[in-house]
Amino acid sequence: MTSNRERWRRLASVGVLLLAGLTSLATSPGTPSIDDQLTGQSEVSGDGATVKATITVDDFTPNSHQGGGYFEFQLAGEPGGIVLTLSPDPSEATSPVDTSAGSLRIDLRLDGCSPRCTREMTVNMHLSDSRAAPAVVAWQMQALAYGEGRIALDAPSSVGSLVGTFTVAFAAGGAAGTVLTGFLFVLLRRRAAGVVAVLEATAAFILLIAGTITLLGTPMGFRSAVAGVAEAAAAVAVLVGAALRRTWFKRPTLWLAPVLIVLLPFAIAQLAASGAFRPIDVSLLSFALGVSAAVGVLELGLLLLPSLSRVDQRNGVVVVAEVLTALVVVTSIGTAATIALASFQTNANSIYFAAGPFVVVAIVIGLCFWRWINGDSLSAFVLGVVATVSCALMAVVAGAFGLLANSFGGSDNGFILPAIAGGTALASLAMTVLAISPPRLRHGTVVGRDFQTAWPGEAQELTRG
Amino acid sequence: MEAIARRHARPVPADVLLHPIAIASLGLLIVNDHVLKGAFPGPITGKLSDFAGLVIFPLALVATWELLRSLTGRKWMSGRLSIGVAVAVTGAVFAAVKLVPPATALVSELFGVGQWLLTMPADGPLPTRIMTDATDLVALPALLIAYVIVLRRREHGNDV
Repeated sequence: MTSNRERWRRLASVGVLLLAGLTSLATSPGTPSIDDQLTGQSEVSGDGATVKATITVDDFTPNSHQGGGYFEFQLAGEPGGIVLTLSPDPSEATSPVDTSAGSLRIDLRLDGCSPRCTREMTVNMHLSDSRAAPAVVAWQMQALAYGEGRIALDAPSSVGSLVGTFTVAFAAGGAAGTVLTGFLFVLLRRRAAGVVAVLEATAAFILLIAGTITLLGTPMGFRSAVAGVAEAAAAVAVLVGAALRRTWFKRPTLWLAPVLIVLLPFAIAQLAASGAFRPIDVSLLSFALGVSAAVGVLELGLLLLPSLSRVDQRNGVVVVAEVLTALVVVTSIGTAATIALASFQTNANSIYFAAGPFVVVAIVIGLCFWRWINGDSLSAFVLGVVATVSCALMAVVAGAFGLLANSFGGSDNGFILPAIAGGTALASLAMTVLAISPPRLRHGTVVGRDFQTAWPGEAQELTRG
Repeated sequence: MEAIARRHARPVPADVLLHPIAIASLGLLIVNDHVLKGAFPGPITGKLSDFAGLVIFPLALVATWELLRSLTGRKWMSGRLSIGVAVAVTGAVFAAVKLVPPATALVSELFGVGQWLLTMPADGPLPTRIMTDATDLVALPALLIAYVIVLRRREHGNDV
């Protein structure tokens, strides 16, 4: 008899097959030749209220770009951007285009921009051919001249400073709470958890420092590097904890997560410092790193939950730990993917900014689903979904503090970083409180009831063997 | 941790595509073609899709075959012969496309027709951009991954 799980498994198989077919059609394999890449120059200037951009492309042939192209003006801190349509047909173009003499030259004048665009402005220019396959379009978009202009920074407003101060205080409080809890762990002879909590707090503090440095207007690369170090500290915490519980290394997924967490932030920080992320909006990078920082809560959970499992193994807490491990891995990957997508398609910065967490959540829930149709219990699936949504909400709440600060016209988007650091630290605190709570209390948690009553029979299945 | 014994899922038709490597390959194919190639045009991104495609394509063939057999009520579990044929066909077509310009042009046209059928643009089907490049054959060993996935699934299926 076909079970519910098998029906879903069939459906998922057919879905992947269809996706594979569509992917084959929607892509255009092949590496573009270097010779085909366009070159050009761009120049941006401005006096605070008006921005002028002049972009010249060498050897531009209108016929080879029938789909035209577009310009995008990405103003730091502004949602979206201003997209001007370029077309060989002057009646369709929203900007004057001169394609004579085998080159393309466009003069743009952007009047009346908000005060914010006097702070920082990036101008990108892309050409695309709408008649070509998507992959070719994507390549052409990037193959063209990229111009960037920066205009003097404004001083932060007093309101922004006030909110920024509050945000930093919030982060400091959370981090301090985690430090205290960490020492409490040590006192309770739960050394691994204590070490982890202390290191987590250290990471939060470093993130806090990174955010504070941001307030002072330091270069983005430096901020990113500091944030990367903070992430690495959190990862080291996990590795130390894992080393103290040697049995964890028996499962590849459990040590793969911290390894990824070590490598990804460093790679991101290095790329950021090298200038690879120049087109990216600072706020997005901060946000992405912040989401990655929020994963710290899960790292802590990974270490704490197995310790609970000694008492409550029959309640399936171990399964929760496994699901959390998967969350860590996928969240890290999702974060990196969010950064990558946003940095490659700069006109959609704000879209990815908003969509990034949802993409991560969707991926993780998809992974939980995948585990279920491959043999995990329904309970684990449901718990995975609950844990994912909780994590997402936590990140959103923490990020909201940063956005709130930014909406008041603060000095920079770096408020998000300390805000999420604070959120991470506070959530870590909550986890530690849960961990040191009496077993009787833990039996009363949702986790306990789930496995004992909600799906009778599955608890036995989970502990079989 | 050892107390957990995950129940083995009984194989179903086409579930070779649910293997983590298959899903990862598909994801890599999508990301590489739509993002990475654009951002970092070069030999590495050019080859990545070839590797991923050579993993996923034979599996897709096997999956289609299993679904068709399942629908007709026949034994559907693929063995050495099925995956062997899928791997051989994929390898042969891939090699032809990468070595013989007319084959490249033909597949390019076919992809274009497929895209046109999906989107139905007014200006008719246009060929996609596929390069004849013998160095892409370096990705051929990726076919072995698909082969191993199918055979291991069969062994596992016999255990259930």
